Amino acid sequence: MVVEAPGDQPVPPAAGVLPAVDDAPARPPPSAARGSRWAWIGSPVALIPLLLVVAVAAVLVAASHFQDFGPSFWSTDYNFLPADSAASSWGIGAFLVGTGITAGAALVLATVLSLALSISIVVYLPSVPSRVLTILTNLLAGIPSVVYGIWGYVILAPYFALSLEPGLRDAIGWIPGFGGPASDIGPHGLLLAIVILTIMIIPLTTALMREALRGVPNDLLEAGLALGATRWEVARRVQMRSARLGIGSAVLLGFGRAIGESVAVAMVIGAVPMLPASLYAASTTQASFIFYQLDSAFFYPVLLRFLVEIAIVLLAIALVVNLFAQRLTQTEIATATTVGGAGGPAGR
Amino acid sequence: MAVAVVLLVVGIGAGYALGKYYGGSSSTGASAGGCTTTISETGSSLIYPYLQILSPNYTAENPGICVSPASTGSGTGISSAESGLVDIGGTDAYLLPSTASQYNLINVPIAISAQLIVYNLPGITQHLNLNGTILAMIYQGAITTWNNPLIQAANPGVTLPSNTIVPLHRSDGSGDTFMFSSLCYLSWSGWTHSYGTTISWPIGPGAEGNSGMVTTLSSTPYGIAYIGISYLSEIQADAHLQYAALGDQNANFDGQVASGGAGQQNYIMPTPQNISEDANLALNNLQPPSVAISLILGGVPGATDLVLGHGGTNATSADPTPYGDTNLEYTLISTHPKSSAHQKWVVNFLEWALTYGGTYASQANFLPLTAEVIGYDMLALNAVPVSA
Amino acid sequence: MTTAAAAPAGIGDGGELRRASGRLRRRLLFDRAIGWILLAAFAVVLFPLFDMLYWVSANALPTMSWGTLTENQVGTGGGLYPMIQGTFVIVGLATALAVGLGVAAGFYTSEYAPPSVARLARIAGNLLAGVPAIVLGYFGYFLLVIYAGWGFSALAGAITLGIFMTPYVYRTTDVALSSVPKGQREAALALGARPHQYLGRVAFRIALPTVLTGVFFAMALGLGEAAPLYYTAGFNSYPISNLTSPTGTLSVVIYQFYDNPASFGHFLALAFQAAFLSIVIVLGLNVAVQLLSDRYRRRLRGLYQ
Repeated sequence: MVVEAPGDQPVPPAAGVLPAVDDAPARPPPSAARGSRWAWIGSPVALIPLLLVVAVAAVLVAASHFQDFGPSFWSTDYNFLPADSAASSWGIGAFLVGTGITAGAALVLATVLSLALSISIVVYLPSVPSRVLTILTNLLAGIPSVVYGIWGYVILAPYFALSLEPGLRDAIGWIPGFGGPASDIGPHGLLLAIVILTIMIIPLTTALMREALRGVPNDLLEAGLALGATRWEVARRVQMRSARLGIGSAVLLGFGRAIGESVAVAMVIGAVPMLPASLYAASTTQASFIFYQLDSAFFYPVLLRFLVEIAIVLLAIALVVNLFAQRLTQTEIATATTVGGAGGPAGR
Repeated sequence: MAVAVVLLVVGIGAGYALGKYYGGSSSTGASAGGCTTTISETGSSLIYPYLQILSPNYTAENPGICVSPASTGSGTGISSAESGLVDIGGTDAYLLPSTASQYNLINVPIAISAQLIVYNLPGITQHLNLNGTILAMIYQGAITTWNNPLIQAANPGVTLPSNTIVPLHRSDGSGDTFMFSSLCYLSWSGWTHSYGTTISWPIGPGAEGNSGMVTTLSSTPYGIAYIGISYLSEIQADAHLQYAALGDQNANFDGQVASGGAGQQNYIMPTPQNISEDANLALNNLQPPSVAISLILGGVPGATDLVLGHGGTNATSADPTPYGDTNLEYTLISTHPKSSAHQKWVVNFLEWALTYGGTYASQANFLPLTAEVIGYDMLALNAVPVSA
Repeated sequence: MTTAAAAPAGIGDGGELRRASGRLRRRLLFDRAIGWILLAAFAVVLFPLFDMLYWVSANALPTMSWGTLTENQVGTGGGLYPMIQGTFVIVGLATALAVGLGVAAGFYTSEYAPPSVARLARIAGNLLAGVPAIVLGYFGYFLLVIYAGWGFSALAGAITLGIFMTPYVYRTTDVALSSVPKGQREAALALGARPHQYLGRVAFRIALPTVLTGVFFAMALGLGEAAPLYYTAGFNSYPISNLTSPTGTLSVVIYQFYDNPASFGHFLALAFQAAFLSIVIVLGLNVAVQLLSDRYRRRLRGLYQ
């Protein structure tokens, strides 16, 4: 094996500039193997993730058979007539609206709660409780999504239908979304789906925000405290401000996770592909619809292609949101999800 | 660190090795290791318990021949049978005969099932009288309150509440939806939502699976739902829920709607006797003789709509008490098998199930087939080419 | 090394509050109130966790026996052995695939690829992590089950799940290798180590705990996710003896068996037991991650001294 010593090779100026590397000098030393005769082989291997993303998109496009559902595809008019599919209408508007409302509202709740959790862990709590809470929030991520769904409709749903939703409607019905017809109130609906989704994405958003807050140099924190600021003042004025990009990216990635959740949402949202009149109304989402209708679609080829096209739109939305999140900051997405707080690469 | 690496490697390999080990030595009935032939089935989650009950009994009589059913879904059962991935596809809804012959498949009914119409009406504990037309109008939004004159006319003497009806439907694709939408389609000419394993319901929320229907209805006052009869004991155990008797004429009776009343009807409870009666009336006099049936409509004169393929009969019974929301559970097998030696056992298993399965049907809350349908099945199975 | 470990004590601690007055007192009280509000947020989040754990355990444990782990699913009872085996096989193979693809890609991204390629690769890695699980399920169904004609099989399930897990392994590998301290590299190369010797003996040894952390986390995610498996691995009530058979898994069993009447034997109990087993396995993986990162922390401390 003939590998030249790296020092003999000229180094491209930008080589080795990697995100999240501790205090890297402007012109870092050469990577060990870069410039060797293996370098060109590396590029295709490094691009395996890209190949996989492209393959997923390609297979879905092929499976859609390029079926053209016409301009009404973007309308909210969905009416599937199994025995007369030519007369059916195929609008995905209601699915987009349902996806947007559930993921958006779940994200607002999850952002508030995750900020609270991550500030507690990073700023307020001593080491041991903070680690225990980290493990517990991680465990929340490991509960099978089916269990969330069944727990939602067996345990939570009766409270929502019989106490919470009627109570909310009486108390704050004047707020748009919280009023609406009394007939919307029931065990299924947007509100329950939002709550379940919130709980499901909190582990992700909390982990990402925790990492973002930890990324704020300790000096700033200590300087703030030394100047007589309270912990909350430091958290709000120093940490949240310094980490705002990381927090923003956590929010967007949480949104990506929320729009993709299928099984649990399918069990609680009520599966009605129409525009909802209130937050209590049953609705549907793209991901849940393509999950619970797939078995039936084997009977009806047109429905199957429609589901595939919904999947393509969902994939496109997920990728665009993800790209925005990455543009926002160079947050180490997979790392933050991975770590359970402790495996952070640079051991900050 | 070495420990962690070893753990990971063990994690990857252990399951597979254990599978080989247990596969050969498991003592609980037939295992993959002890099978010389494995008959694979996939499809309807309703049929799964029935086949799981049959499977060890069949293997006990035919050592080495195992039946491996899988609970996936009727659509999956049909598509898997079409593509030849399994020996038997299980489905709650028949495969259109034209499609079936295109894929060289035949419909082989193996049991009779029925559906309950269940409601959650606070303060009302008796069985209400309902019929297909009323149900179709409820699910299309033409009847919106419980004290609607049509419902009141069918239930003289019952004080019905004025509350809005909440019709629940299945959110997942389902044979139950196929049955119920067929009932609506056949019962009311105003029904505009077609029929199938999934349709676009104009009103009301959906629930996932029959379990979801029961749970959801229980916390939905003034709700109504269609639920497989397997859940009878759950429904009886739930103080909020009660199920309805259905009118004996499920065919179109728009005339009665026009006259504002439900007219002369018998209302039939979904008892095993009444379901069997329906099956006997209809299935023993099939006109024309076809087992591709969406709803078994005993005692419905001239109900021979071939487009929909529901089973009716002109025969009348001295004691006509058929429960109308009844159907057949189907298996699909190939008439052009890849291996006729293997297919021999597939056919043998179905013949065994048709002959002896009746004694196990009640354990899965099914009813045994009628002799006439078994006769059709046997004829069809005899035509499948198998090696001697 | 982490701020969590150092949890700085602000001036909001007891004594100052008693002595403080006026505006400072208000600020301190506000700070304390915020602290309680943050803790309340924990309660809101942890209630569902504990309620789910209790609910699953209470329904799973009374009927759980040794047979649950060792018996086939027979009739309306029996055990979950085939699904446990299927879960191990599929998650094991998927892990092998994810490690193969993820470590290779992460390794090349970090050590070989030109910066422009590395940048693109990292973006793509994060994109792959953002692909919804159900969309991957569709991909696996159409490509492997239908086009390749494998049918529902352990292999189709494992590959689909492996792709789901790959980005997590990929990113941790990349980041772990990238953050090996520069001093280590310079020292190794200065001592005359060849690049592959440096990578094999120094860089990977340092990066391994982080990579394993990522692998375990990916396994935990894969265990709980039914969407990619539902229409790729299928279902089986017998243990599989080859990778082309339909294969049952715990996450799919929960979904399938819960939809059965309580009067049907033990289907419901089996659903809860499957949920219980997956949670226990995930808990085990979480503990493994924590133990690993403890080791990692100690090792790093040694390195920097």
